[in-house]
Amino acid sequence: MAAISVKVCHMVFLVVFLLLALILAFSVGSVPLSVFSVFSGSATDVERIIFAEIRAPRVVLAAIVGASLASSGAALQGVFRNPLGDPGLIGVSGGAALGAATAIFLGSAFNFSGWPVLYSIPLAAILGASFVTFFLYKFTSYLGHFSIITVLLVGIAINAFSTVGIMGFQYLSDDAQLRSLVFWLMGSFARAEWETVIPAACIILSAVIMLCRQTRALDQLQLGESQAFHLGVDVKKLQRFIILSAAVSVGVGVALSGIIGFVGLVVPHLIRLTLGVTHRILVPASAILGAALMISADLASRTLIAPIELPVGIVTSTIGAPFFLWLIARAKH
Amino acid sequence: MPLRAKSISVRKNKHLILDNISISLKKGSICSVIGPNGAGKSTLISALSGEQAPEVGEVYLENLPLGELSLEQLARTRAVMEQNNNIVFDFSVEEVLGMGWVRDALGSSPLATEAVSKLADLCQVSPFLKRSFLSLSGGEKQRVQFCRALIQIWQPPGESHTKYLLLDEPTSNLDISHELAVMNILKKIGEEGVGVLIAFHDLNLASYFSDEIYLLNEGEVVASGPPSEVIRSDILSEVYDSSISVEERKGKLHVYTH
Repeated sequence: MAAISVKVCHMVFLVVFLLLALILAFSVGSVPLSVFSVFSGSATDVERIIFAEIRAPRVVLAAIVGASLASSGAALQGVFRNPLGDPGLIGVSGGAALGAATAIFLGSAFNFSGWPVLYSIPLAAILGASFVTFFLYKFTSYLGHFSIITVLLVGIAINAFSTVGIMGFQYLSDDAQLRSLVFWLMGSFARAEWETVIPAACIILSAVIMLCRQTRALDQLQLGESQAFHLGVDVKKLQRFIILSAAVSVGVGVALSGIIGFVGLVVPHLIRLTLGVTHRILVPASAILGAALMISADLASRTLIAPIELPVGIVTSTIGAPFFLWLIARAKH
Repeated sequence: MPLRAKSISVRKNKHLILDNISISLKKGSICSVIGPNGAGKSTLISALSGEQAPEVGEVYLENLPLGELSLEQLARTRAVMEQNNNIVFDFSVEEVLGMGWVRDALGSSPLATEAVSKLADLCQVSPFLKRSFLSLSGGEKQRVQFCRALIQIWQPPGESHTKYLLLDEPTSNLDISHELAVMNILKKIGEEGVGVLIAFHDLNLASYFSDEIYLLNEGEVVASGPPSEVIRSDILSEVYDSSISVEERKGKLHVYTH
């Protein structure tokens, strides 16, 4: 009973953390805002516009990308039965990055402006992520068996391929293209706009909900693939479903915000340490903490050395990389 | 209405593992599969469970080929306990037991809680319900997995569907008293109507507790029948390629090597 109430406290803490992060991120910035005055109608027009057109979409984008990376990470770690699993591993982020790099390179080469610029990068990234997902699916079907090892190996190959592609574009880029490319590769929520954030939020939220519906089967899978089969789990179908959902959700997130490392790895571990390993709690709790942490990281990225804005990927990787090392050392024991 | 394999052959990586095997597991009987390492015991369990589809022949559950049953129907009719105890994440014993619950999607319904607590008492795993599964010894893990398999086929009083339990070396890590406890539980649930099939290395245990024994060698059934027909010095010595004696004492067969 005591253990349950401790877990309830942790869960309440997570939700409070998310709410606080939301309020803080809405309020703090180059123009300080009061969330309460915006909602009560006492804010000026300028404040309202800053809130509605600049800050709110940015914070919402950070939240959904954080939720998507963390819940996908939790589910993928469950499917791979490996605590070091990450959305980046299966090549989806790499595919999305290559797609976006192509769009950035070609976009400025052809001198596009207006809506093609707004949509071409995310669309190319989604295309890249979808292509990788589809390729992963087809390639493993072609091999006649869907093994986790194969998926990981294909992921490594795809990542290597996209790294080469991105390096090629970097080599060929002029200064402006290079800047845009590097900025995107480091991850940022600065270009959030409702036109892209709303559809992305719908896709990511449905993917998170679908992941949450597979959590019992994910638990049973932890007994081993054949034992899960004996318990009535269609293992291949589950693996495919989780990998595809994670790919779509991460692909959409990467498309809008660039590559943000370590969230998918670190957040599920923090949840396991506090709330336990059962996926029924792990996946939704990871989504909440992922959202809260990403909002905070974005807040840090735009306030730490204001008015200069750090790419949020630098913030998450600076915290995430040492944590990852600690994790490896801990796993060894 | 038995669980039966009719002339099945199973091939893995081009190797013929099971060659034209027929076996029938009847309701309420305890059936042992014995044989040297690599005889095909685990593969036979895998085929009977529906996991490994035979290349030739068919496995039937109550006259329906296993392929025609859904995974849920199979999960509610038979439980399998494998030798593998490998869990990566730090689940509690209670959570591992809960994974065995297949009657509804929850695993935390009042009926599930009742089944878990009753069977945990029966299998003597109640004292470590809250402990981490990873912290248990090999024998304790095995008892938890055994208990989980029982939870899978548990039915409340008043229900009497025929259930089957397939166990691969369920006592390999257990001390002598827990070994006996597990075998007595199996005997009891056998009397309640569950069909139990056990892959064994321990020939004495097999001969004490079985109604029927299948002796496998190189993927074929060499001998089958009640213990007195299979646990014989000449048959065992030839299959195990060593000098094995069988003596009858107080109505029980004792196997020993020289």
